[in-house]
Amino acid sequence: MDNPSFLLLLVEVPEAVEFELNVWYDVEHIPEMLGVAGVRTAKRYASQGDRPRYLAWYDIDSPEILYTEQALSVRPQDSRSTAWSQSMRTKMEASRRGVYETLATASPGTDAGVPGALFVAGFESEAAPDDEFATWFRTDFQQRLARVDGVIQARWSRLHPRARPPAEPPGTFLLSVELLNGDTIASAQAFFSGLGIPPDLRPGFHGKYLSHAPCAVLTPADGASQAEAFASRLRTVGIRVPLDDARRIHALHLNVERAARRLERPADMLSESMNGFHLPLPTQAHDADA
Amino acid sequence: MQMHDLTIAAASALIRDRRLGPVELTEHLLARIDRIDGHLHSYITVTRELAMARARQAEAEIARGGWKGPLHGIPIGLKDLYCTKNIRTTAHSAVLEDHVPAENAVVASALEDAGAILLGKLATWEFAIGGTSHDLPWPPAVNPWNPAHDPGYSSSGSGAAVAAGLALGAMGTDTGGSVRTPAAWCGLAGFKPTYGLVSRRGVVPFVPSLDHCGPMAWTVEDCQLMMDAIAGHDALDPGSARVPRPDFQSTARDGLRGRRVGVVRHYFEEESIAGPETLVATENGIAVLRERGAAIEDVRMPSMASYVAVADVISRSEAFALHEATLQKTPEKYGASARARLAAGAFVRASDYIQALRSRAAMVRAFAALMERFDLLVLPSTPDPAPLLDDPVHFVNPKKWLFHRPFNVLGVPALSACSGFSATGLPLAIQFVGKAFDDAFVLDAGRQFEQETDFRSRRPSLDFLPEALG
Repeated sequence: MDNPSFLLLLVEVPEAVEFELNVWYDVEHIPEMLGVAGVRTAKRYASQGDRPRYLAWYDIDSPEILYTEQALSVRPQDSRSTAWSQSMRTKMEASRRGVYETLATASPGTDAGVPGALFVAGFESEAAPDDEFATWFRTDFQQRLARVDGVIQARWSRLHPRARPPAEPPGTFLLSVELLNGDTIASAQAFFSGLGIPPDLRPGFHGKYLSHAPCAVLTPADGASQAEAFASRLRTVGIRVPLDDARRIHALHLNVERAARRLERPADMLSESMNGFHLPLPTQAHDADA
Repeated sequence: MQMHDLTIAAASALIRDRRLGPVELTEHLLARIDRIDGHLHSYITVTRELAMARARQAEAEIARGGWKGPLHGIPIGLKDLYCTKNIRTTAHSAVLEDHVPAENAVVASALEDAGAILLGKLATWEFAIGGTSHDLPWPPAVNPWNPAHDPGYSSSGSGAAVAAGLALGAMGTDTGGSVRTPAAWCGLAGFKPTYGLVSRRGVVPFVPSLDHCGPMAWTVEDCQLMMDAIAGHDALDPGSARVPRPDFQSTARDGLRGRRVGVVRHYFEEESIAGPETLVATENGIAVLRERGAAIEDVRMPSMASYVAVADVISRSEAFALHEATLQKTPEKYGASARARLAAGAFVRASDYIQALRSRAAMVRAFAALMERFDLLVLPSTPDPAPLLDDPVHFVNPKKWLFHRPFNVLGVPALSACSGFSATGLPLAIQFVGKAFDDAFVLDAGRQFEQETDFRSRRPSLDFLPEALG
């Protein structure tokens, strides 16, 4: 049986584009990715300073599912992807990407739950003694890890040999540690230096990331059930739309809800209403000025 | 200069002096529409026979000495939300594909009474809400300055047609910036009058308490001429105001001397960030006002986000109320984008809508108090020139919000005028905002700005057309 596989994406965008990137991920790209056969989960993280700032993690059945027509057509660099995706592609700077297979996992067993934070570190090694590193990971590393609070699971992975070689992977080898929350490690640097890395491994990219709402962990079932739930709600007011529409309408509906929460409201609406409050019809507002 | 490059004012003087005939002018524009509009998609319906009949009638009237005024014999277009008697009015939607009104919109009649000649009905966003859509019976209009770019929000056909010389003026509607955005991105003057000054009766509504009808033309002066024809009280428009009709031709003899102008700098430097070219064009525009004698100082308004929250809740509520029954009956007739945006208002709570109206009234009062210290506010119209046609960035990114929606919430007059060009050859725009019902002054200030600058001599080259059609 195959080792578990995942796709890791790191992107940086200019500050002015961050909001759009997040809306694009949440409204369009994550639902699209969850629609790809063989994608099991989607998780998003954002760093508090490490670069690239945004990280997306997809658990996948195998590297091959990324090369189906369906999967290729939602990649922002593909001409069949949406205009929004293609436009986002032009705004991304410093993207890193890699498809990995997990060689070993370690769970101290003290904590479980949805990860609130993620530490990732990439490594290179001229020699490629996979077994030796995996042994280190299962022994010395795991002992050190057991002394850290809030660890859910750690993985030792390497670039998947059956995946197309990426242009700029985070590392040939990848250490990832899922944590309950970001408080667990005061600084990524301190955490990193306490890991007892074997000298044959040359550290490269590393960073500490916090889970990025609203899609902390989404599975295809979650995406579909949210859309289905909203489609049902629309049916209660007599509107019948396809699931794709319901997903889009739901996202817009959440925007209006956010706008409503931003409205200024009097602390005591009832008292204010007693003192000359009138429902402001537009003409009334204007006659006062006229 | 060619005939289609004439401003309304210039064409009007020639027509009045019988040096240009309405028939010749109308024939020229119809032929031009035939030649090039297949590349711009600005018209949904061209009313050829009617236009020629009216042109002949106008020519005969003028020959008899019956010149009616500056719009007599001037070919114009109407956004396809304006109902036109016996002429299909679609709102750019399959929902209204066969909709032939029995009556004119009040504005359509007013323009007809002034002698204007209707060339046809212009493209829009579906029901003014749908965004650039490719799943409707008609394609979206494109920007004549560069067809890969957005002509600008829902009065897109109006902006494209006037910029390309396919009409000398056009009517748009502005609910969240839809007159000012296409004016900005197509390099025109576009004016959103004070709420209540121009009747909306007979115009397919979008958000009745935020909808405004406004003119779009090559110059501010042309907008003044159109406002003269269309402003007025309408007892049957529930938003119409009973106010004296302004004199839109009045011009202050001493420029802007003694006028106080507030620069809403935090909007375009802190909240939504204007690009460097827009910033330079805006500073140059402010310098022009200063040279005309205005006293300039920075002013702070409530955040754009506070206005946008109010506008969002009101828009979604009112638009859904209008479309609820049709969404239930024939949802498939809408394009996907309009359907989603309209249905998004299905679950706005009534108390949120009431709070939005209450906030709006408080904002109107606060703005009136602020404007005791100012005669005019100035800021860019949009943070950047036209984006690519399908780029949704300006729609979702608050750092790139357009500077329009606060003034729909407030109902005050707002003018977008061309303030220069980007290095890529796209128009930039500045916005002037005034007190409620001080429309004549806002337009006068805009006209003075336009006469002191030289941005009206450059037209779109249309060099993307397959042959030399321009």
